[in-house]
Amino acid sequence: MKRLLDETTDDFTRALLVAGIEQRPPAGNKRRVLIALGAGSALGLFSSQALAWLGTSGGKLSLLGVALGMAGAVYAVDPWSETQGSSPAAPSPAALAETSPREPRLLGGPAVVPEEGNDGVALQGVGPDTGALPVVTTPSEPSSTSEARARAARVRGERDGVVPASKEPRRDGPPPTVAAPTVAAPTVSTPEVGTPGEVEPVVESASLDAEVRLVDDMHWAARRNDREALARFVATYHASFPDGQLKEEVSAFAARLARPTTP
Amino acid sequence: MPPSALRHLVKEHYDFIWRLLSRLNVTTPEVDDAAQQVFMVLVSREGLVIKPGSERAFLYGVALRVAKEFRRKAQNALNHISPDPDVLIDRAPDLEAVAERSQARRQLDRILEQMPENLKEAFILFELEDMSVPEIAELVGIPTGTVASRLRRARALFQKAVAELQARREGGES
Repeated sequence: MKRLLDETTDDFTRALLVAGIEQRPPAGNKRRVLIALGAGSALGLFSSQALAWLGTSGGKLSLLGVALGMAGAVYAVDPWSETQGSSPAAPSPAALAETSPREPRLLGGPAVVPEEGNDGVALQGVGPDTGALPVVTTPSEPSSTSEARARAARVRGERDGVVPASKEPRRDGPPPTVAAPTVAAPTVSTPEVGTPGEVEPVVESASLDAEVRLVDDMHWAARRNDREALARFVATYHASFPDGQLKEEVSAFAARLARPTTP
Repeated sequence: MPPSALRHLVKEHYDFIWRLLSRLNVTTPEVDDAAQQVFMVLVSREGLVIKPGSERAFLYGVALRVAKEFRRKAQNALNHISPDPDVLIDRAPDLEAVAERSQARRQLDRILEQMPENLKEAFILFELEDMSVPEIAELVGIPTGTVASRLRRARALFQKAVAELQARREGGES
């Protein structure tokens, strides 16, 4: 059977058929498909078994690592976000009005307001007629501190089992025993204990962990404007961790203690 | 499927599949995606072996299913539009020729849209894709006599539509 294009002499019919025969996809389409298919197949994305590796031990470990990393990152970005809502002493509306509008989580308890451009830590008393607790402002957390915190959270999680940093116990409960802070670092950090190859990383992580906890206690004391407790924590820190990784944060607390209290 | 074989199939059959999809009432914005989806089948199916020489038939079958799926989606979204000839044309230096070809394609698409699916399929594969009757029979999975019969009916419809179109044009000019 002959094709219509070869049979017909009508120009219009021929024009229609030629237009159909010569139709081509836009230039570059084929290359895009080749690239997409090449990349997809190289990564195994089109395979029905593409996600099967998640069922393996390696996959589970990877998932765990990603989950811990994300939890650590969330904790490092907003470590005090869980402190609202359960404190018995709530600030008055006047106190809230004086706080930053960027901090919507101040409705439940004493406010910790990061203040840009403030190098130190300041205690600002609320007007005497309000009867509210003072609003505490702290400087933005240094990034190195955040990293150390995240690292400590990860190390803690790996050591204790799966405990994401965001699931840590809340710090706004009853005050901790100030006289006996949970600092075990000086005794733990002796490198002679045990086999060096096995013990050193554990000792290091325990030290960092204790350091972070102590700084957490400082935050707790600062939030409650408990200068006495804060001073004790700072002193303990300096005694226990002369070369600690959170020195900058602690020195901010120390600077705050050196300032006179605002009436 | 090894990457070299995949590349070869895309180079050989992409244009055919793309044209086919655009004539199977897949909307213009979707044709590229539909064509890509056809070839994705080749890499997503583990242990897929295509008999040598029947690659086009295999891709054709996949393209029919993909086109059906895309048409259904388009109908659900109530946004079905005819293929836009301005997008379907290849770039030529002569603007007048481009405009004429664009118009011719639009008219061809309108004629094809009016044909029943089975006749349109035979017409496209024989007249536009240069396939023989036995090839089409194998591809579609019907006897050669049926293909020839469909082709005759499709041609008759096509020529009737062309004659009507010409009459309209002449009527409009006079």
